[in-house]
Amino acid sequence: MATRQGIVAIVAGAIVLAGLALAAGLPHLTHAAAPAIGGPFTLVDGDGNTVTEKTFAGKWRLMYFGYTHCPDACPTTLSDIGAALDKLPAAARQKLVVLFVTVDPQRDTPKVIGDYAKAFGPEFIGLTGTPAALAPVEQGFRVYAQRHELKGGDYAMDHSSIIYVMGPDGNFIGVLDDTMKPADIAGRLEQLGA
Amino acid sequence: MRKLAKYLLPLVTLPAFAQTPVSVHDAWARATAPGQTTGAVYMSLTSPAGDTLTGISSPDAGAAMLHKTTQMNGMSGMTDMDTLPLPAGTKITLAPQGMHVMLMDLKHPLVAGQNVEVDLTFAKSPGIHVKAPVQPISAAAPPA
Repeated sequence: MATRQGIVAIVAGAIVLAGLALAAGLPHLTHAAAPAIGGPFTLVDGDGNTVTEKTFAGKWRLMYFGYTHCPDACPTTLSDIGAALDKLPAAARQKLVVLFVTVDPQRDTPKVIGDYAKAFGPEFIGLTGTPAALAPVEQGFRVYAQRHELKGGDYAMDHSSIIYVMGPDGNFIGVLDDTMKPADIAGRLEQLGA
Repeated sequence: MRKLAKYLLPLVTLPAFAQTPVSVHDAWARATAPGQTTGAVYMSLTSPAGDTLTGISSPDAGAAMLHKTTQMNGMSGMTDMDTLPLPAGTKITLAPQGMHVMLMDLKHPLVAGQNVEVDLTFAKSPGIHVKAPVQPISAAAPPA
């Protein structure tokens, strides 16, 4: 049953992807001349520490937006990233973090998102914040998130499911498709220089 | 009248579940991360004669339902599926980033090495109790 929300989500997703394609020069995923993706943010990690775009300066960052109540898409993508990192040389892994940013701050407290992210590997850091703190991040990354009511009073979040690659200087490098297999993700990261 | 009875009788006397029942293969679930209260169960279903999956429940969760993760243009969403048609002889696969049994309000975490149980009901075939082995969080496929 295709919902109206679903159609809105798909249209919004198409706009986001079109924007990303322009910014990143898809499909070649070369360095963007004028990266319009990213920007400053102030969020909170699982231990309650403040995390900004400068916290991981010098490291490669994979950023993925989702939520812990997501039963399929988010754990599958995070698990694939974890399996991809297992294929990278140890030296590359040490220079890389995976930031899992919630689109569901109502349920994802710092502890919830922090513990959740850690389960996928030591490089995984869960980030949350107030809706006011998250809004500019979603805007900066062109992330779309829409609450979607489920039967029985619960809700899910429809959301952009794209892995953003940020270089050690904090600049946007490109995106990885969430349907890529771990070997492809690892290969692409090596190709990008991570 | 006798002629009519000749045609009607087989219909009435046929046992309700005379057809070959649905078979379920390769059921599995991924272990949940700490704090995760939802889960997904994957499996393959085949109905030799054609059937429809009409209901799902789980003793391990407050609610269970059939969902489809829709991936389109970089967006991920979930669509509720009330029923799932099982065309005769066609293997229907529930797999990551696609159709899955969504478990909500898990009564306990899904731990690798244990099983999660799901009850399936069908329009024609008898219900099936599925024990799905829980795989490590890094798993992407059923146990070999």
